Amino acid sequence: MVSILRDLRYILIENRMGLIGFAIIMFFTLIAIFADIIAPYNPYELVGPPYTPPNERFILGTNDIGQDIFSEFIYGSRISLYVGFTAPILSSIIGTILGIIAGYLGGYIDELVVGAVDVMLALPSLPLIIILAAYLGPSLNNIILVLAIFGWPGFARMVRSQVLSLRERAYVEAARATGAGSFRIMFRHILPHVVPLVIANIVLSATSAILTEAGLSFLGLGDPIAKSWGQILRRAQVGHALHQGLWLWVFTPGLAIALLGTGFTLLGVAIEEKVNPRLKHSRR
Amino acid sequence: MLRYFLLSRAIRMLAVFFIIIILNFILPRAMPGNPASILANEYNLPPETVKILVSLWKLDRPLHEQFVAYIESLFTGQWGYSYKYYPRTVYELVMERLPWTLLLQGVTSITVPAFGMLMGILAGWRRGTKYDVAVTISAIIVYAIPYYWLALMFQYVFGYQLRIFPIAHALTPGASYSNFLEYVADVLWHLTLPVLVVTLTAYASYTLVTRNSMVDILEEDFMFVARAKGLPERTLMKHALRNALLPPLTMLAIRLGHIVGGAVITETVFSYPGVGYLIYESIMFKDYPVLNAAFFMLSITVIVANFAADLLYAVVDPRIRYVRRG
Amino acid sequence: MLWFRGRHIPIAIFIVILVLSLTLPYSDILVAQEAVLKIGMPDEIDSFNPFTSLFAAAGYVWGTLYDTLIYISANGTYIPWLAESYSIDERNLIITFKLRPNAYWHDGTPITAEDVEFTFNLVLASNYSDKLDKWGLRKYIEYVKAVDAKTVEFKLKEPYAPALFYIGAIIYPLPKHIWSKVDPLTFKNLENPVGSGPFKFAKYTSGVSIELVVNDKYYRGRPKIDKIVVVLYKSTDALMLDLMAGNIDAMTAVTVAPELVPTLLRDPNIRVVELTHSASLRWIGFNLDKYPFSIREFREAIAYTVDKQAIVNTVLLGYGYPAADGWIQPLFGGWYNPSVTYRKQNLTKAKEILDKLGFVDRDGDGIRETPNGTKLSFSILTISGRAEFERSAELIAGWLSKVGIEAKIEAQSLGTVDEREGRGNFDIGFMGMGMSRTTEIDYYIYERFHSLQAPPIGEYAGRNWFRYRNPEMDQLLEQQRRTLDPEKRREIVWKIQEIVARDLPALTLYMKTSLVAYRTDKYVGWIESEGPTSKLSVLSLSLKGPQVVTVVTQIIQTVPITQIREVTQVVGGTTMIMTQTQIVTGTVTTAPPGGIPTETVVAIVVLIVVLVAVAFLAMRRR
Repeated sequence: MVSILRDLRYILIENRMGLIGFAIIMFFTLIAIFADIIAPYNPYELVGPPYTPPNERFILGTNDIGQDIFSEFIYGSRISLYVGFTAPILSSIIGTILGIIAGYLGGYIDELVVGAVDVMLALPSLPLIIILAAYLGPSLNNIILVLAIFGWPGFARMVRSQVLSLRERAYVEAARATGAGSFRIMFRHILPHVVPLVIANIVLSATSAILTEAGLSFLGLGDPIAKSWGQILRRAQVGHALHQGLWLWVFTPGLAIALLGTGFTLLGVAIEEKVNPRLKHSRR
Repeated sequence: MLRYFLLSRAIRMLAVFFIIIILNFILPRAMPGNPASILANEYNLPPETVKILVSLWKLDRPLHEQFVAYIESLFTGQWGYSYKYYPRTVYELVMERLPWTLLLQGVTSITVPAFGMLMGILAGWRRGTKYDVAVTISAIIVYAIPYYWLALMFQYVFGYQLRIFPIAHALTPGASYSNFLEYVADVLWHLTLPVLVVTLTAYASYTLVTRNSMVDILEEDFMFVARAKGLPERTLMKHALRNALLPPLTMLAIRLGHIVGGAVITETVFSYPGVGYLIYESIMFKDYPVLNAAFFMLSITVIVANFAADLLYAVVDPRIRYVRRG
Repeated sequence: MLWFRGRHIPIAIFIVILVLSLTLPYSDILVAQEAVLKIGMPDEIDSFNPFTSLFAAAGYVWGTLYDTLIYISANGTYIPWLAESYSIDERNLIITFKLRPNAYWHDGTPITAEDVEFTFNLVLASNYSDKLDKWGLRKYIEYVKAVDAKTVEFKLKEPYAPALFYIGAIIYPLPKHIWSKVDPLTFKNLENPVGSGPFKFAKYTSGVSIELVVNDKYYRGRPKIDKIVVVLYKSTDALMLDLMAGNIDAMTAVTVAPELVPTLLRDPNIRVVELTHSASLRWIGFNLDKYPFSIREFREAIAYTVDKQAIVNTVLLGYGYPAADGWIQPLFGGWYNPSVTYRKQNLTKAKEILDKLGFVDRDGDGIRETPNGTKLSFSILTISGRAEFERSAELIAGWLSKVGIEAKIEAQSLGTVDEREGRGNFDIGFMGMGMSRTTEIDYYIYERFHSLQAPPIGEYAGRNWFRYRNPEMDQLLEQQRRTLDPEKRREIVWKIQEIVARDLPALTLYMKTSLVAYRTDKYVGWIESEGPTSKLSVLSLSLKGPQVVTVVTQIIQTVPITQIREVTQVVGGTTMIMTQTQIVTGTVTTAPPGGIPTETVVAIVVLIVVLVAVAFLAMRRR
């Protein structure tokens, strides 16, 4: 417990990168939580003429049917954070379980998992994500599902290679000697040692989850009703915002995606530095 | 030991290959909708046309017959006619577009890792300095920038407002060239903006990987010894580089397998006449023959690239054979 | 050898990029000074085989490469074109075309009746007929015969009103000496296609452009422009930017998004025109085999909840008009029945009808239930990626909720939507289709409302996916096909509209007008009424200069857009005038397009500062 606290102190306070990343994420989290208070309008309500340039009433202007873009933007943080957290967590759960089982039990199960990982990694991912998203239909949860389907192999591979070295450790041998079952060893003794690295990777892959969700929305495969940053970008693009000189409409959501992604990566790198022994000495 | 490793990898590769061939057949056909009526809907065609197209494309045949025809087409290379572009053949369509994709992606496959690794090496070499911090932080920020967003902004600023670079295409439409150099210049001029955008948004991962591996190597004991012996900086750098570039190079090998698949959005935004957009279109219009052929090729390149990465690792770093994947 | 030591690299890279970008040529230098018309088009070319090609884009190119016997002008007039004249006998069974004596194929061979006979026989009486006859012409045409070198005769089995349209304006006569040697099903015709039209094929660069050069020996006189370059785009964004930047002169097969009109009008060299002969209809179709959509009154109640004008104002910014309930729109001139208008929004009336039907809210959740207790909760199926559809569907869902009907919007890929509507697995389907006055009216109604096209749920239906079955309608549809007397046929078509408006198998929503833009700085002689890129317009174009401009005789009233449309819109309960800057073409004194707004300057300065900062950091010794 103490060591976890010490790690946290390092990650969040001593390591400036981790601190900045955490601050960015907290900033957007607060926006997401207090969206109702911050947003001046209901993002679904038509509050002004379409394509109003930014003015005092509408900080970022209005969109193609007259909804307030700033309000949309505020509410968009909810979706990006939601995707950023759920998709990697979902894929990490699948990946970790499969990785531990494959790594610890070995044999045919291992072959099977490794084979599946190889197949997944050999599939051309972007076209397939487009196919799946088009097939499942555009809804936020389907997109998260698709992201999880393509996210787990990375986790499985990483966890498995960790488990391979962990299972030869003395304490695992000791547990085995006392007659603990495979299941117990896997999830009581090995899992806790894998979790920190998994957490680091969850935070790291949040960035790509957010980017992919925005990309799919941009291609028109996202939930058209949801107010995500990717959707705002798409509306801006479809509505020729740049042609009309309404560049803030395009600029803001893109910047927010980049910023939140940066936050996640900074925090992820900080955590990884702490938990991955290989990287420990990389920063003095 | 190396031979055993390669053999087991090759067998697994074949298995993966066959699974992909089957998925390749099932996935597109599992999507709802009939290619003929999608086209009819999009292009306002009379209903009679749908019936004609269905029989022309043999979509009314039972699935197992279609599967046999599919397998046959893959292995004989007779990919048949595209649906959307009928009566043009898949081969023709792909061959027309592939050179452009290879050019664009080939150039970025050099600029991205080159720029990324250069930044990474410099950052790693001067680890802990302000330069290191600046490079690392900027790489992390750039890593999170949505590619298409930057592309749109660049198109608008450089293409429309400043008019330095063309907005779209790989050539000036309708241009006539008096000599080959003009042609090359025109191609390069059109290539600049896409390459610039891809490079700016993609270099970051190479930088981060190179930097970390550089730092790792520099902290190794043998480097301390070398430094203590008073070897010149240049020699030290050479030693460090030889070892530190392995991870980014492996990453490059794996990425090379994905270059065609990754071209979808680039080519759409810049109206670049490559395979990426063809693939996107074939998904949207359920153009099975194009989709199957394209996926088949994509999968093969990915598998080969992964294999090459494995090989690279196994040859250079013998420890890997046991640790990685067993 | 360690060449990359320290500070020189960033500078070197910067200089290399700078030098490279400066030496690269600008597009203008590359283009020779001749009358080259550049037309942007948002699609690729599939082939130049008129039988198998499906693309609208390719269709535009054939239109310049090949001539049809008859050209239909924008107001629906049939102009003899490749045919010098045509006649129909009094029994309405024999149509005779007389070809132009001085017409030649691009390779110099004269165009003869034999060519026409050959082409139509491919469709009517050859081994390929069942694959080539997309229009079902074999059912109506008995034979085609070359009477002499320049006269060709068509014999019909029974009177068929659309015959002249399909024979004269849809099927392109092809050179027999080329097409008799090829398989018309797989012939791509991409290498040097031999046509009859005003322009000859020059070059096709896949994904970039199609180049056409003038046909010096064109039988209607040599066009004044030397070359057409059809520029292919993959996104309309790039196309619009290129139009604004002057890289293309006009656009085809795509329309201007309404929101761009103010921006385009700011450029005095760009004109925006509303096409008079074509527009797009949008509608919601009901699944008539599904309760409660099977109830006519229920559909009528839905019709009363929709404010068509508000959709036009909000989604189209006023560039459209509410659609008449009878499917055929005022666009079709005399075919439109002026007594069929549309139901204006009337929420009270809608509620009354629903109450009368026994659809009331029993559990107090704001959503009505049917007498047997199921909620009036439906989905509106729309195509993902089509923002206009999504937005309109959103508005409709909002109004439906006001009368106690819950509607969810379900956006799916075109394939899914098509499959689900075709097989009857939907509640309400949002759809759209382009309509043109130059197309035979039969094309829009026969298959749409005929019960032959409405198989039971589960089987794939064609255009009549609402599954509208009405024997009276079937009879009228058949009857109008057989009636050649325009007045009598019009009466039947008018009757059909009344029935559609009464029965509402689908609720038409609005017509989206086709806005096109073109540049006036290089060419004169554009015929807006026909559409700036239409064949008639392109033939009358000439480079700006002292030349005399010939004005084509048939001029129809057009609506060039010189002012931004002002529409009233109800926002948050109060009516407000949408105030966009009002700019009139020609009198603009604001910054020309391409002038850089302050924001961009600021952004660029910031970018440069950041770059310099990074470079500075990079160059510092560690």
